[in-house]
Amino acid sequence: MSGDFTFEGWRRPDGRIGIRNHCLVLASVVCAAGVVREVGRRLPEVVVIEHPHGCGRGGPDIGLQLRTLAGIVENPNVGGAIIVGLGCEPVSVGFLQAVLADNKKPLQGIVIQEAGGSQKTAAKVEAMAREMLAELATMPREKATAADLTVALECGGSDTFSGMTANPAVGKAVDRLVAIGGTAILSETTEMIGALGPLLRRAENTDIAASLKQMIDNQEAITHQILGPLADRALAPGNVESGLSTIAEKSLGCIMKGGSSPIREVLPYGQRPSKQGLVVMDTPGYDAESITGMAAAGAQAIIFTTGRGSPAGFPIAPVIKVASNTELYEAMSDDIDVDAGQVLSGKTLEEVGEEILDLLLRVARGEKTKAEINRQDVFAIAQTHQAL
Amino acid sequence: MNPRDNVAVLTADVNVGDLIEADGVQLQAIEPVSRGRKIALTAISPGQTVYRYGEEIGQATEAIAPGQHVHTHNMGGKK
Repeated sequence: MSGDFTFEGWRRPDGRIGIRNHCLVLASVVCAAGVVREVGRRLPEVVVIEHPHGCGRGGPDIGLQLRTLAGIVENPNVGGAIIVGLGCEPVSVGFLQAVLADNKKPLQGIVIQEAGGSQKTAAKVEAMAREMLAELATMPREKATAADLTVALECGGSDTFSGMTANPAVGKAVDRLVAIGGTAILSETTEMIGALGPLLRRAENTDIAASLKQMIDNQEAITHQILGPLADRALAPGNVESGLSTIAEKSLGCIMKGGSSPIREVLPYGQRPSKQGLVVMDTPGYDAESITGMAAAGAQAIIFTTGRGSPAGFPIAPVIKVASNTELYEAMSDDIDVDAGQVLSGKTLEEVGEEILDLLLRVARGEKTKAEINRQDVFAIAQTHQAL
Repeated sequence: MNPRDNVAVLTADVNVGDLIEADGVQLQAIEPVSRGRKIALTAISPGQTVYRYGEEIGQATEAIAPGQHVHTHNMGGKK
């Protein structure tokens, strides 16, 4: 590690720094998915986000959807955005534009029912996107440091080595990042069940401790509601096959990604941190929904550990993939950026942590991660109820 | 490994009789166990807590002997 924590990024009107300068074409509703997909085929340089939500949701889920989509547009990696709606959905283009009124980045909206149907809308969005891409290309970069970074922490497809190699190595990188002024978000509340003790020991004060306890107790109750007597094994088949026996065992490994810094804030899904340092977000354990919530909160990069081999990336934020074992790193070199399995063959957690932090800075300077190269984008918004 | 732990994760496959060393503790595998799986370092009685990372990961659901495979067939979590 050179000790150089600087990079050139894009300063957004709200003051935050982007490490990418994406032109985002966002569907506000499932009914606009075909149009944004078509724009993506015509202009591969834009980033397209679609999702399966639209009508049939109650207030809390409409709120989650609105906050998440608005947060994604506000994410500092987005230089400008075009929102495509249908015209009769609850989370409409107009609604999103009203929520985003204070955000001064280039933002446009179009409604299929008013623009002449799908093909005419796609043609219009293509023209708007070409113009926006040209505008973004002229945006200057300025000097920034790791203190400007908010990093999302995630694990997907964990194994028994995750808690011995990849997760604690990420924890070392997070300790360094926090010490130099950056922010990291630890999430996946399902994967905190059984790990309350070590989390409480890191709570900055009694209010944080109480919030953590309430958040995890609530998730445990939901897990019992859904899984009944199998709640202690809220695990994926691959987790069990790899040797993880209970959710507590998985959780205790999972939380090591947060390192040893004090937990300074507990956030609801998709909400931006107001504190620097290590913060916790209440998200499902389901990785696609969890990373979407952290990106909506402004994370510019995602550090994602895996034991089984998840290829998941994210449309607007680079995902750094860390393997818990060398066999996986070698078997899926197309998808994995860092081999934390080296901890089992003599490297220290600190050394692998340095490798991860070093890569994070290189990614902030523009180096593409494997998931970015593969465009293995996943995007999913957490919901609390089934559709009506 | 934490001194409180009564299981350890194997970094290589073991067969019956193979000698295992975990942070100075030496024991013999009494059944074949695959890499990545847990092995008991001590005898664990039914209902007794299973510790990994120095924390509680569950309870034994049957008697477990040192050197035996520890997984979903003989341990469970909090119900």
